[in-house]
Amino acid sequence: MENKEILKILNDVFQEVFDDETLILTRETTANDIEEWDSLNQIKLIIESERALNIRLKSRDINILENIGEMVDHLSKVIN
Amino acid sequence: MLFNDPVFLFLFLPIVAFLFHWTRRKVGGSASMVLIVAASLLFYGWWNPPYLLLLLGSVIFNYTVTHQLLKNPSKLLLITGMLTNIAVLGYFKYRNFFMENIGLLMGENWQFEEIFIPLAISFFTFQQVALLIDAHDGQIKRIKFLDFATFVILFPQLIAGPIVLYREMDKQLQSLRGGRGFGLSLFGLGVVTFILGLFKKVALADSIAPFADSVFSVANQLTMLEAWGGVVAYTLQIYFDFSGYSDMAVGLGMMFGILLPINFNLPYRATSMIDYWKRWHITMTRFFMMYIYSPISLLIMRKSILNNWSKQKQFLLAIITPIVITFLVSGLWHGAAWTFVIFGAVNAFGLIVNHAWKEWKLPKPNMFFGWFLTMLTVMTSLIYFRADNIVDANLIILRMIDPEYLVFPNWLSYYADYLGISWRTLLVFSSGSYTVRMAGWIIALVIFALILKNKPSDLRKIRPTVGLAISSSAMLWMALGWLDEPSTFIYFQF
Repeated sequence: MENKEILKILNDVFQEVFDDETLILTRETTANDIEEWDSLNQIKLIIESERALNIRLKSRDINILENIGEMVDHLSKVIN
Repeated sequence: MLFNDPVFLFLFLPIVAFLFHWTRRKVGGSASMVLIVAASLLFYGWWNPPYLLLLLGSVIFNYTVTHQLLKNPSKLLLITGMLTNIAVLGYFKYRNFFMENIGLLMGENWQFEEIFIPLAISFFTFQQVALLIDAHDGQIKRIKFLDFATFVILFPQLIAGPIVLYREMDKQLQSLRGGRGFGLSLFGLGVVTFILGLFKKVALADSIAPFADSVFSVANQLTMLEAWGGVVAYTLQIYFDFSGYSDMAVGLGMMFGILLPINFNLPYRATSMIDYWKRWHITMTRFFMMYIYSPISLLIMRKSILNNWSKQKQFLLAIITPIVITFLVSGLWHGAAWTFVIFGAVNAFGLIVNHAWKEWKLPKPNMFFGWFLTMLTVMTSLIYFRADNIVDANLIILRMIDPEYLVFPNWLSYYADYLGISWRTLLVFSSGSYTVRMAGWIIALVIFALILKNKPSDLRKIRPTVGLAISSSAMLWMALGWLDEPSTFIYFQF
């Protein structure tokens, strides 16, 4: 799966978790850019990403990522 | 040795900084790392030389386990390594607490001789446990002993954090070893950051401390105003004490060309408990998030989705349970006493309410009300954090809220009579001048707490200007002027 496609799926996941249809992710987006991003939403993001991409993630792998770009790269590694 | 000790400031720091940079340029990066490890051991041993053996033993043991985990990521080896670290921490820090409580459960009153807790044991244990987990997970590919030792022993962060993860230090240590890295480029900024921290500790935290101490030492004789004054004073003291320490640590790191993560981001501006824990003791929260909260929460949340639990059941098991476990550990990490367990419980309660509020999409309170509720929860938790025992903490809370204790000091009798409030000579607010001084400090410190930033991104934007030189010199002058009796840092006990 291409990184562009992963970013698009991730964008849908984020919009659903944060209940915000106007949310647009870029590779540079960080947790600091989304006010509602907290420990619980982080867990929901992992679960929804797993569901959308049909993969299994480790919480620690996601917790260390600096921005969405790193998350896309990590997901790409897990998928491919 | 303390960061605010004249021996450290005027002897240890200048000599070590000079030798470090001289060695780095003339001999090489590895030699400069050996030098800073040796200096850090001297720094640690200055306090109690025999415990150097414990620190060294811990480093050698954990390096050996890490090395093995990198070759063969066995779960059994990881668990053995983690349990050994926790057992050592448990022996020194929790043995008496648990034995005394087991005794109480059995109706016995066992008393044990006090065990001297080795300085920094909670910090270096956590840092190394995180490293073992990361090595097992494949987050670390290889590690040299010198890098490992520098990572754990480096004196700017050894005693009370920031709790650093190896993966964020890895590249910096490699650069340092290779003679590259930041070198002296961050030195000036490091000095300014260190001065800011020293000012916060010596001029702000230590100045408000006697007011807080005077209140907490007479919990059963306080009136409402005194109790509130003391609690607000302590809330300010602990922030300036610990964030001052953290700024000094970050500043020292910069002086040696190492960037350490920040621990605070204007926490008293937080407008919710979730927001507060994103801003307070950030590296500790990160540790608990990564290694305790998230794995438990993810495990239960997956189960809840698989079994189609109701929203209430999901909230109870997948949200409340990990928060309670995390804050129970966090409370006990701060100290082996029930007061710290309640400190954790109050914070957990605040976070649970905050999450429930969001989950059920209740109307968002306005910012000021959110801030007020957050600070009330934080202050309540800090009463248990500071009080000598639960009884004292409960007494202080009672006196803060029970109208019976609304008594004016005798020097305000005119206004008390006018308002129909009783008055008498008070123990803490005995004189007008003392009370006004305390109120003045509180107002000044509230302003400082709300405006003095501590983000390195902000710090790195700082440019050398005349204004910065004057303000830094003024802070240094004030801090040195007050440096007669270096006091210890609150977080050193953990």
